[in-house]
Amino acid sequence: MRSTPLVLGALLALTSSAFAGPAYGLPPKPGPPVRKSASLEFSSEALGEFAEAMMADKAGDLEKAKNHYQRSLGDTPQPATLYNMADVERRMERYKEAIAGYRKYLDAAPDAADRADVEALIGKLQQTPQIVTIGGDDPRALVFLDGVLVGPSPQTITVPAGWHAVDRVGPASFKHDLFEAKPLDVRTVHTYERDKDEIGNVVFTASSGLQSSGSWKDGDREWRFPHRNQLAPGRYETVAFGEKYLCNSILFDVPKGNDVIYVYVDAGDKPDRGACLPHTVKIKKLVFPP
Amino acid sequence: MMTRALLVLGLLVRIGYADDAVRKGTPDKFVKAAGEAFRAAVAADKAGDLRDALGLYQKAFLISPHPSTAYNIADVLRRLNVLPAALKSYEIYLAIAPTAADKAQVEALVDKLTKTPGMLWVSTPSPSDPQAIDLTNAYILIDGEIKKQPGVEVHAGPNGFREGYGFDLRAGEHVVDVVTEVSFGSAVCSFGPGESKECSVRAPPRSDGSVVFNSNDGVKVRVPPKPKGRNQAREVRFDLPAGKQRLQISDRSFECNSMMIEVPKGDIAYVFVSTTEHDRLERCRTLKVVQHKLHF
Repeated sequence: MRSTPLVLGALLALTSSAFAGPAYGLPPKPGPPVRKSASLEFSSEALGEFAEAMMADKAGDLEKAKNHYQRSLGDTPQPATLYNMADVERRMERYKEAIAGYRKYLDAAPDAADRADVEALIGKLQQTPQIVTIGGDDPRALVFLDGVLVGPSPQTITVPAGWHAVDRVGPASFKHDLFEAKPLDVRTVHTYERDKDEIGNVVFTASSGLQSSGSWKDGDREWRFPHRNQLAPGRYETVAFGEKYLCNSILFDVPKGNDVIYVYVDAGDKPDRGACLPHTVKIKKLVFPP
Repeated sequence: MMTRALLVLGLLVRIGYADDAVRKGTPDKFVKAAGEAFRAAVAADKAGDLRDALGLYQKAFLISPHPSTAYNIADVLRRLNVLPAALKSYEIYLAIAPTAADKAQVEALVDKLTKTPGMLWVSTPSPSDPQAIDLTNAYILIDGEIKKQPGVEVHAGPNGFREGYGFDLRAGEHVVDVVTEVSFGSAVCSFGPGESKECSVRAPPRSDGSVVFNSNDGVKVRVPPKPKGRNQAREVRFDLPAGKQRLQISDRSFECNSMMIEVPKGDIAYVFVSTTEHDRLERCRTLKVVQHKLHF
């Protein structure tokens, strides 16, 4: 037991450094296990379940460990069991549940010697950014988040809180989704492609603030977000949703050849309808994995 | 073993029950009853009556848990060669005596016992079952590793097991695949340290295909690989043209990086995918891929 604060301290240090990174980063590593021992306060039944939990925990079967810890709680929950359950949740990257578990531990052991360390750990865990896994059906697709190429699908990354636009673009597929990232959430964005092919040399997409505004016409050409279609090489300029919606027209070039280009119009995620929206256009030539 | 037992008994008598720690709130009558059962257990243990000793130690522990009792239960179970239950009792001992002087020794013993191999006996039902397999002319693969090639005659089974083949393996869960030229069957079998377990494998009499795919835990392949659709399976045999082919893999509901395999002309490509990561991760886990060419 004496070694626990040292281990917890190391865990805090690891957790802290793992969270310092770019806005879109790799998920933080949960760190090594920190387990507490049982005591003679346990009933014999609770000890049996606790031992099964420890064996499963050490063998890496965390779900089984959690179930045995749960059964070990019985009618008189022991702080050590509550702590170990929280630790299992932490290593399963279930940070909301882990925080709730550590709080139960502190409630059950108000005079715990490691109270300050556990409170500090809760504070660190509360800063965990949202972890999102983006995947889908097309193994050759590329993943974009808010107009920035993240890499080939699938991707598991951390994102800051707020609305985000996901695009998954393959040689013959395209799917767009929006999601709201909330702190401590772990979620998945599956962009299942449609049954028919989505082809065309231009992927035209936008941030969440431009999503629900329908389509517009420039001459005979109809535009909308998000959309993939075939455009002839040349320069394109269009005024989205009428002259007063965006402050400037959208301008981009379609190169000659067979390249697919990705055009992302970023006007943020909270459009102010009272004035024209400033925007930027990001353009990327796509190179698909073999 | 006897020396060890006597040493242990010596230790136990020295740290005897009645004069040791008393749990908070435990009435004396329970401590007394547990102590009596403990002393009777030690006597039975010394007399070599391990079954009685075990029952009495367990009785003492259920009346009033104590580290010495947990240790002795584990030790008797170890000498009775009931290793899974012994390991659980050693774990109880470590859990309630975290600062015990012999902690490192007990942990080393637990590690050693945990690694004690067991024996998996792979068999198939009698020929009266249409799904019985021609084991002699089959490959047997366990957790993706080739354990037997075609052409080795079956052996008579021990312990009343049907004829088949025995393999010494680490304890735990194992995926057993049996592949013949025309069929494929699979079973998941588990056993504890030091145990022997018969694993009977059946297979549909005919399954076509140049690729056999299996995994240990929720990892699936899209069958047949095509750009759209979600026909995913594990424990499956399907056809692909010879040459380099891409397999689309998913882990539970999560897409994984696709993998390239070489499908041999006239032979079978066997692919086994495993993971050691837990199944609550919200993403495709880290996968280990093993490929073999099976030639008949």
